[in-house]
Amino acid sequence: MIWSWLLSLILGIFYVFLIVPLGVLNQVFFKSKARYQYNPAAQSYWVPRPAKNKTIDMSKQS
Amino acid sequence: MTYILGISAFYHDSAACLLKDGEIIAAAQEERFTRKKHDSGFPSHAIRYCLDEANVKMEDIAYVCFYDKPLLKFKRLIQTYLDFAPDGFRSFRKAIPLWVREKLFQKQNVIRALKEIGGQGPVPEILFSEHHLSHAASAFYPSPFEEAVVLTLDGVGEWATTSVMLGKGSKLTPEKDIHFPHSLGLLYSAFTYYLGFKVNSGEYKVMGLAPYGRPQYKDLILDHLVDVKEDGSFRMDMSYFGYCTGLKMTNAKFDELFGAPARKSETQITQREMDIAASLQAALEEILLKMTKNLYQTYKIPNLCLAGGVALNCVANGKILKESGFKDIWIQPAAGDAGGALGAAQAGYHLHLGHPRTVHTSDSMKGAYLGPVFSDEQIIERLKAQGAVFEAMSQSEMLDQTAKALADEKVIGWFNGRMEFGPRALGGRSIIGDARSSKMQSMLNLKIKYRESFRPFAPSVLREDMPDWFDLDHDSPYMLLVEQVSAAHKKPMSEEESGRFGIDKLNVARSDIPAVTHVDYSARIQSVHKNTNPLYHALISRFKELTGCPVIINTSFNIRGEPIVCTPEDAFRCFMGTQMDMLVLGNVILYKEKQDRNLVQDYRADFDLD
Repeated sequence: MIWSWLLSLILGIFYVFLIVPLGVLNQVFFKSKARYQYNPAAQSYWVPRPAKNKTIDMSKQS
Repeated sequence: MTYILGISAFYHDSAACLLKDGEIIAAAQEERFTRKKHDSGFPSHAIRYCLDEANVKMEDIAYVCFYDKPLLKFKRLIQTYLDFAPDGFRSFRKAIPLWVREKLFQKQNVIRALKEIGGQGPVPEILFSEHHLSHAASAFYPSPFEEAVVLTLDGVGEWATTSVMLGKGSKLTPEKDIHFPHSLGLLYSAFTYYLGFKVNSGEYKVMGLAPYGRPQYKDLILDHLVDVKEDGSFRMDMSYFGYCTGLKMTNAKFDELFGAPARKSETQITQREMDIAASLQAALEEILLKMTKNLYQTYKIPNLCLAGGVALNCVANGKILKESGFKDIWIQPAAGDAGGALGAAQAGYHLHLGHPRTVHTSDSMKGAYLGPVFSDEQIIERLKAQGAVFEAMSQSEMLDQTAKALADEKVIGWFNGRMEFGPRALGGRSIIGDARSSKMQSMLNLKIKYRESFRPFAPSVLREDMPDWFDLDHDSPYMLLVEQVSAAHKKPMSEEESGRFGIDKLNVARSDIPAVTHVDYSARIQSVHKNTNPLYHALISRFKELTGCPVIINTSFNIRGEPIVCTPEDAFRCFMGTQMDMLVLGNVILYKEKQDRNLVQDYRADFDLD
């Protein structure tokens, strides 16, 4: 129980002081929310694969 | 000789697959061995089985191919938290410890687990496919097509939820994707949750429920929840969904849109739930048809391959076959994540190693019979250990007795040949019955499977007789296409019968094969082919000789919440724990009335309801 509380506290601090500020900056400067919203002007929502990603390197985890 | 081992694990439906010079030698889901439905653990048992089947050791394996890229998944997770901050702590609190403890170190965990299996020998090099590449490879490489458009649709992989790739020869080229959180798989799962079923396992119940309802919420779904473009691409309005930031699939705004909170699990299903299921199914079909029609017009390639969990929606598949414009389609039978193991191995062999591909005229899945098999000697030895009373006989005698019992409306456990790979029982590990019987559907649901009464059963039909009984003349060996019972075998309904609603529709014999005719006259058809399962084909042929009917019921050999049986012991336990009349394993027959009643056990509590 106490470990669970402690873990929540640590993750909470991490979330409040790192994820939230970075997230807000991301949303303000990079308009990252746009890809979650409808775009009436768009003809299509397909995202074409860039040429460099058309060959998948299976030796990497990312 | 090049052996490649494919693995899918750590999400749901873990599995392993072994290729020898590109040929599929063995494939199995971990759940069948551990008896834990949708087991997500490392597939140690399935790997051991694959190695044993090929009689090789870990040191003989050239590469192990994992079905996705874990670090890309983690990046998507973090990016989603950033995009939705300050919301999302609840999901963050649950997901991050798991990632930090295990998932970030998947490569090391896989190596450690492989060492446990392989002993002191060297561990093969590990390759990482992409989630949708694995699905696409599982759909294209075993298909009978030299060239095809490959469409994969599921919940989510790394970023992609929907992908289009082009397959030609041994090449598979990604063209375009739709990214998380916009996902037809997650849309369907959100409704599965809202209708009170389990996510990642109850989706097929929603599909089965749909024909009881009227699609009166379809416009509501398409007007508020999904924006669909003319080419079938789509985005979802995330303000109605909770899965990006919370632990629930839908939220209060979704409840408000549909006028009530989510149905509680195991409570009564009303006409409203049926109408919502029908509406979702209609919306999904509209989107998929737009998408596939556009793909055909764009690429002008006559063949389409499908995989990913959404490709298990056999009602939509039937419509794609008829209306999309593609001349032919092929769907990977293990279309869910288990099939990712097969696809990852294929991608490793053809894309990473550059080996050419041999295209087979039917397909190279061997009927999906890729799992363990037991000889009559092994079956007898294991049944003796269980205390079973049985009769061993010739194959011809076994077929005669089984066909006669079928015609006498007996319910039979049928355990023959290799176990199937994928979610469907295809005559290897099946419960079978007489499709002409009007009482069989409710009896099987309530007394054998212990599951909801609305759920339909599927027919196995001799391929050569299929066009006479169903409006379909296309191979459907994997039970992935739904079509209507043919007009010649339909029975007209009276005015009173036509006016019935919901579950009341069930008690009407709609055709000459009422046990497998759904309330909208449809059936999820399995065509049985002499070349892939000669024994099952012979059984149905004998049944036809006795009755004139080449159709039987085929449902998976398990009870609700239980993985399909794998071994003779599993089969015997299920036989004794249900009201099945007869069990056939190889050429060995067991009759219920001859068994020791002390061996009867009610084991329903061993499994969580699905």
